[in-house]
Amino acid sequence: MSLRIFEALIGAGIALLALAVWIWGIPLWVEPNDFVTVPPDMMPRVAVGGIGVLGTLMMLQRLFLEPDRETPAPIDLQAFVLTLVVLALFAVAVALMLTVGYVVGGIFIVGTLAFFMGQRQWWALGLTALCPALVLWGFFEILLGIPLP
Amino acid sequence: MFDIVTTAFSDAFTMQTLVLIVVGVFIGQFFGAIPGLSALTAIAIAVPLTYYFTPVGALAFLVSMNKGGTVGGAVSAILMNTPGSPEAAATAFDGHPLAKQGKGLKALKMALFASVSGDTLSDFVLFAVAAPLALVAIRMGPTEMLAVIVFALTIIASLVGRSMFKGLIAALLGLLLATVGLDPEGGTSRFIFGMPDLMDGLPISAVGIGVLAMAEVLRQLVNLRGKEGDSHLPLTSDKPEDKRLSWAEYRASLPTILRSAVIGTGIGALPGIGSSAAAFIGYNAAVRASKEPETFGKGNINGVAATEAANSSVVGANFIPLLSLGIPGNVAAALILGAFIVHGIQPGPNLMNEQGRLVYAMFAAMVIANATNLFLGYFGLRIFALAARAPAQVVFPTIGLVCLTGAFLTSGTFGLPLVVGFAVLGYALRALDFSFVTFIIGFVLGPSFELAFRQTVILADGDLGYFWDRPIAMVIFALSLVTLLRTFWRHARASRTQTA
Repeated sequence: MSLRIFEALIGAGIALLALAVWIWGIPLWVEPNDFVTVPPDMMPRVAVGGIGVLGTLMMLQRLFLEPDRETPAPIDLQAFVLTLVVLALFAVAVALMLTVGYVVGGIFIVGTLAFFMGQRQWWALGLTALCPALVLWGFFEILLGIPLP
Repeated sequence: MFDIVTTAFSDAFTMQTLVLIVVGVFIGQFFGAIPGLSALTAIAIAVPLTYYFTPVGALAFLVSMNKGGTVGGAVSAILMNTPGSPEAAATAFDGHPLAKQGKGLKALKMALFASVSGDTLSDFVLFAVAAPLALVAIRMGPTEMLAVIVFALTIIASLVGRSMFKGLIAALLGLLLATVGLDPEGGTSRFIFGMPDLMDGLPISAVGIGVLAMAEVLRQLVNLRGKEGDSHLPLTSDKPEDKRLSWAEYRASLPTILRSAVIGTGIGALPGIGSSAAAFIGYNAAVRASKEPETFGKGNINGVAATEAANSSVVGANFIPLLSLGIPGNVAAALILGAFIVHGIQPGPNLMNEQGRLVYAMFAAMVIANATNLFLGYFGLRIFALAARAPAQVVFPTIGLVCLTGAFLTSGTFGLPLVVGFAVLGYALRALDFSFVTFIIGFVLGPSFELAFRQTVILADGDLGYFWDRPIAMVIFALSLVTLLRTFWRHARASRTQTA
C-alpha cells in the first residue's frame, strides 16, 4: 500500500470517528446544562468538528492533490507486535503494582524488559531487575516518606 | 531595580533551590547525553516530583534540567555521531569529525562554552523583554487572547512536522482531551465515564509522562532490541593541545557564537520553531559567513560553536511567550507551564503583577543554573561520556519504571493505567507521524483557550459585528488565516517540486 492511500485511510478513519463522537459520543458523555450561557458541549463540539473537517480535508488532499504515488506506507508488523508485547508487560506490571506491591511490579517490569532487550546473563538480569526497583522504593518510602503501592 | 535583583537572588539562594539546580542540571546533562533520551523525558517525569518543592525550587529544577539537556545532547553527538537530543543533530556534523581526529574533548569544551554563552545571552533578553511585553499583553481582552492562542497553535502546527493537517488534528485532540472533567461554568460532567478521578480533568503530569517519556521509551525499547552498537571514540588523543580549548580559540569563535545566539533567541521567542531548527539555521549562517566554508563538515570547531550556541539560546527565549502571554513556545515550556499550574500559578499577562517576585527569583535561578551548567559540564564531561555509553538494556527498562513511579506520585493508583494509556496514544502519534508537540501544547492551552472562547462568545452575544470593534484581534485572526494559507501553498509547492 502506498503512503498516499495509507494516509487517506487515516484521514477517513479520523473523520468517521469524529462524526461518531459528534453524533453519539458527545450527547452520551457530556451532561447537558440549560442554565449556562455557553453550553458544556460547545468546546468538545468545536474540537471534534475541527478534527472531522481536517480529517476529511486530509483524506481529499491525499487522494486528489498528493503527487507522490510511489512512497510505500510505513507499516512494520514486527515492530507493531513487539510494541504490543512491551505494552502487555507494562499492563502486567501495573496490575502487579496495584495488587501485590510496587517492588514486585518494579522488579518484574525492569527484569522482563531487560530480557526483552536481549540481556541473557542471569546475574546481570538479576541486578538490573532488583537495583532500580529497590533504590526507587528506598528513596521514596524510606528517605522521603512518600508511600508507594 | 537593584532591590529587585537582590531580592530575586536571595530567594533563589536557598539551600533547597541550590541543591535542586545542581541536581536538575546534572539530570538534564545525563539524560541529554544518553541517545534516545532527552531533557524533555526527564522534565516530563520530574513534573510530579516538583509538587513537593517550593514554587521557586520547582521551577528552578525544571529549567535547570532543560538547560543541562542542551549541553548533554552534544556528548553523544560528538563522540558517537548519535545525537543525544534532536537539537544536537547538527553538532555531529563537525563534532564527530573532530572526535575522529582525537579532538573530542576540545569539541566538547567548545560545545559547553558556546552552549552556556548562548544560553546566558538568551536569558538576558528574556529578562529585558518579558516584563514590557507583559505590560502590553495585560491590556488584551479575551478576544485578543483567543486570537493569540489560535495564532500560536496555527504557527506551531504549520512549523512542526511535515503535514499541517496532522499538526492541527493533534492540537485539536489536545484541546478535546483538555475538556475532560467538569464544565468550568456549570459544573456538569464531560467525558468522565463514571470515574470520579476524572472530575478534575486529566492530570498534565500523567499525560506528559505517557505521551512524551513513556512513548519514547516504548519506541526505543522496540528499536534497540538486541542491538549492541557502540562506536564510541576516545575522548582525546595524547597531544596536550587536543585536550584543551584556549582563550584564543574561544575568542576566535565568539562572533560565530554571538551570531548563533541572536538567531536562537529570535527563533526561541516565536512559538513552535524550536531548538533543532535554530541549530541548523545557526550552522548554515556560520558556513555562509566563513571564509573557509569548505572546512565545515570536516571538523571545523566553529560548526560546533554555531550549533550549540543556537540550540541553547532557544531555552531562555522560549519563556518569553510563556511568561508574557501564557503561551508555551515549545514542549519543555508547556511542561513547565504544567508545573506552574500544579503550584497554583497561572502564567500570562498578570503573572508579572501577581507573582513578580517569583518570576524574578526564577530569572536568578536561571543565571545560577547557567553557572552550574558550566561548572558541572566542565568537570563532568568524562562522566557524561560514560553516560552516553550506558547500556540500553539497563537504561530504558529503568526509565520505564521511573515513568510509572512518577505517574503514581502525581495521580495515585489511577495514574498508573492512565500513563500506559497515554503511552499508547504517544506511540500512535509518533508511528502515524502526527505531532506530539502540537498535541501537548493544545492540551496545556486547552483551559485558557476554552475560557477565552467562552468569554468571547458571551461578549459577542451572537453579534458578529462585535469583532469589528476588536481590530487587534481581527488582525491576529487574519494573520492566522494567512499562516494557514501560506503553509498550504508551501506544502503544495514542495510536493510538486519533489515529484518533478
